[in-house]
Amino acid sequence: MDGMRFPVETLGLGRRGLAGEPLVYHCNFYNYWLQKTVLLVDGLGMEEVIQDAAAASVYACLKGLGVTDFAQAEALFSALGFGLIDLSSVSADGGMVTTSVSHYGQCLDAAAGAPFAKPQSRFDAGYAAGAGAWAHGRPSSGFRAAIQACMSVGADQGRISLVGRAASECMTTYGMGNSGRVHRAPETWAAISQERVDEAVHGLGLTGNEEGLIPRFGVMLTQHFAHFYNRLSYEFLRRMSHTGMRMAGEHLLIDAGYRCAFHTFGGIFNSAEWDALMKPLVYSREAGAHALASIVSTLGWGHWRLVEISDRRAILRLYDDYESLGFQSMYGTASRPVAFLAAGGLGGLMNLLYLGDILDKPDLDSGYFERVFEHPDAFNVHQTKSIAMGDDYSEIVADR
Amino acid sequence: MSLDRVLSVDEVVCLALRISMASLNQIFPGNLGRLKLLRVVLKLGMPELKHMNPNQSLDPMLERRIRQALNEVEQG
Repeated sequence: MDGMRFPVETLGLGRRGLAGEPLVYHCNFYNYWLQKTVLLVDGLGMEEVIQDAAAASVYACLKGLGVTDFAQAEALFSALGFGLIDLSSVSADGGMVTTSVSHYGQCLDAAAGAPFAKPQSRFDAGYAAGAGAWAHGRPSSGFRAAIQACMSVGADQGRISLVGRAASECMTTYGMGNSGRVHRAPETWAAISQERVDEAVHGLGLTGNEEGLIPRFGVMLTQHFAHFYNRLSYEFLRRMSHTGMRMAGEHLLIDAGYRCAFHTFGGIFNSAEWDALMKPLVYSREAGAHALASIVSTLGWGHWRLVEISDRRAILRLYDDYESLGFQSMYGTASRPVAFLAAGGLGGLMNLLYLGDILDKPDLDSGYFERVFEHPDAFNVHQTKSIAMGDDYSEIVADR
Repeated sequence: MSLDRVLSVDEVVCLALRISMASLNQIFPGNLGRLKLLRVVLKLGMPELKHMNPNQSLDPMLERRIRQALNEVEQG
């Protein structure tokens, strides 16, 4: 129902958008590790960035949809896989928002592996603030949101208070932003067309269920705002630029992508959908890599094309990857490649295939993760080209 | 700890007080350990940790700070 109410467009080169806002699928593992990483350094103000990025994203999306009633904002929250939110008590001055189901409040613990010391539902708070602000004609940062209770730290429901504030500056999104110069990615695997893979994956109806969640491939998916992810990643690095720790920050963003790949890609390889669509076409690890790249190309991440693949080395080219386009749209030309999620993704893919024998469908438990991660011959990844730097495509090399 | 060399004052104090003097490699073993070290670097705001000899015994005060930060980054 909600999928019909919010029709997500598939644009060229694997981009997906709703009401002028780019969307990407990501799992609870990535959502956890990204948030954990950007909050590691005290004093960067990243808590506010998380909430403001969420508020700006939902505000722009609701504005693009042309809806002003809370029922639509609540339905969108559910359709995108964030859970169940009740905005009905919010007046022009503020009020209390509740979440009876929350991706951020309830689904990150599988990735954390340890109890939470702090609430995890900053995105929910930003969403509530942005939706409330749009509905009441305020600027996107016109409400200050405070988490009063969060299920991640034991509450039976999430509670977020909103208080009106005079906002001097508002974060804005970049809409669909720039696109790359290449209009068609080369075909590097002839076994199945990208169009057919698009049709099969989008035909799965990956939108929120009756609880507003998207449990699929052994993970909890969200169909999330690309602006949100990009703002978190690049604002984190920008604020780290004079600390001498930026490179460490980049490594950890790549690690977040690695963990995302490991669990989501691993879950896709192990799924019934893989068996139905891809298994008959995959007779080697190399074919498995091409097949997975074609599935990734349906997730809103841009088109992934492997132009070289062997047990020692892979070259991945990314066409219209959401990270590079988002960076360019927000900050202009980059001095360094910025496709951290994709870099970690390629590393995860190669290690799954060549070290973890993922095509044999192993159990994706923590022991398996550690065994593959600690392998002495694991793949390293290097970014060699970037759309954000002016190249026609972004490129990542994995080798060992 | 080998006793075939002259011990530093710190090492003598640590031996007397039965305080372990671990290296970064001992606290952060393996690939996962290296990533935990990066998280501790960010948590403590100490980029210089990345450039230390990973096999050198740590100053006990520094080791305590590192272990405390490690506990924090290992929480959810």
